[in-house]
This record gives sequence, structure tokens and C-alpha cells, in this order.
Amino acid sequence: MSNTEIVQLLLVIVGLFFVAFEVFTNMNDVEDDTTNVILYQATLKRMLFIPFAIGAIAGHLFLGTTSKLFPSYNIITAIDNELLVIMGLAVISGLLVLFSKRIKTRSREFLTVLLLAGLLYGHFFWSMND
Amino acid sequence: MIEFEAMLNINKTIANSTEKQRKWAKIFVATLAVILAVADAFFAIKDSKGFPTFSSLFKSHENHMLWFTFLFGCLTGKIFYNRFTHQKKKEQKGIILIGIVVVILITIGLLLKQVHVEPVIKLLLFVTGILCASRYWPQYKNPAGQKRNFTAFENAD
Repeated sequence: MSNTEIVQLLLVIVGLFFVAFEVFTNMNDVEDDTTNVILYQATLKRMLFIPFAIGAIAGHLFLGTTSKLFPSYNIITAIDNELLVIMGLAVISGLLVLFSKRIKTRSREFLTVLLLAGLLYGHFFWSMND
Repeated sequence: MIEFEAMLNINKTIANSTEKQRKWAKIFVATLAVILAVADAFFAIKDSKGFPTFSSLFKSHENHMLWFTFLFGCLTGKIFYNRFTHQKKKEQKGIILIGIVVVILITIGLLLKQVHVEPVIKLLLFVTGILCASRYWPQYKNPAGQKRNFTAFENAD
């Protein structure tokens, strides 16, 4: 079994677990225990980074600018540029959690703005095409 | 009076077990996310030994991942633009519709010769997934357990 196949197998296993979990939570009598409701309720509480992170992952996987925004050398010598971008994502997520109590609104429009901001972050800074 | 207290106790027990099950569901979701993040970090470190990261795997199989692009959109739509229904049939129809689209996209992906898919097509699939999930895949809610009225946006009936 090649290394690529091992990674694919891991994804398939995790995917199957997720599907089994979704089927189980949909069939049982307990309300509001499906993944989408759990993630939405977490977003409404303090986890404001969830829409941003989902947007960033989508921008990273599905979009990605072809123009090179980062120089070919590492901006911080010891840290790879991609790692720097991921650290940036972590910092923004941390800030969103930190200020979540001060940010009163949880409207769909606001969450959409966060999703779009994440999408742009993934497209411009976390591109696989540059 | 005794009967009333007994009923109250039964209700409390049900509420407690429901809360426990929700807690376990949260732990399960968090565990899956952590496993994926740790595995991806591990593959990134072991990149030189030929372990591709999830991103590079996606990049090298773009045509085979069209279904995932759409499904990721559906899941995003289910999280942030979810609607509710009191009819189980509506939810089941939605699942069937999404399932059919996913099967079609898997077939198209397998038939495509070239690997590269234009980003605009992937973005369209992602947005279509969000719209499809929000419009055609409402979530069933038992009317008996409903705690608040649905907003105009949330009501799919």
C-alpha cells in the first residue's frame, strides 16, 4: 500500500464514521445533536471562528489566486510561508473567540460576512495555485 | 401529588440523558476535527517521505473531488442557512436529491480526462451546494419538541 493510499484510506474511514454518526443522530430521539446544529450553536455562543475557518478551507481548496503574493524566500527565516498563513488563521480565530462576547450580533448576514472573509483569506493568502 | 413528583423526576431524567447525549455528540464532532487536523499536520511534516497532505491530495485529484466541493457547500449551507420542516418526507426528498447530484458529480469526475478544474466551476459548485442544502434539504423537527417559533427564513413548510 502506497503512502497516498494510506492517506486516502484515512479520509475514507473518517468519512464513514461521520456518515454513520449523522445517520445515528438523525434517527435517534434526541433533538439538536446533529453536526450542523452543534456547529451552528457553537458559532452562536463563542466559536465565531467557525464560519471564518470553513470559508478559509473552502478558499484554500476550491479557489486560490495564481499571482504570487508571497516572496519565494521565507518571510520569517525559521518559518515556512504556508505555516505562517496557518498561524495567521489561528491568530484570527483566537481574536474572534476573544472578542466574541463584545460582538453582540449573530445575524445570518454577519456570519455570511465572516464566511466570505474566510473565503478571501483562503483565496489570497492560502492559495495552492501561486 | 406523588404522581406529579414522579412525573417531574421522569422528565428530569429524560432531560439529563438528552443533555448527556448532546455532550457526547459534541465530543465526537470535536474529536473528528482534531484527528483530521493532527493527521494533516503529521502528513505535512512527513511530506518528504511521500505522505501527501489532504490539500495536495485534493489538488492532484481535482476532477475526482467535484462531488466533495458540492457536498462541502451543502454542509456549509446546512450549518449557517438551515431551514426546518415538520414533514419527514421533505427532509428525505432533500437527502435523495443531494445524493443524486453527488452520484452525478462522481460520475462526471471519473469521466473527466484532465485533472485541473477551473476555480470558477468549483466556486459555482460550492455556492450551488449551499443554495441546494438551504432550499431543498430542510431539517425535520418534531413539532412536540419545538421550543420556539421558526423565523420566516427558517420555516420550510
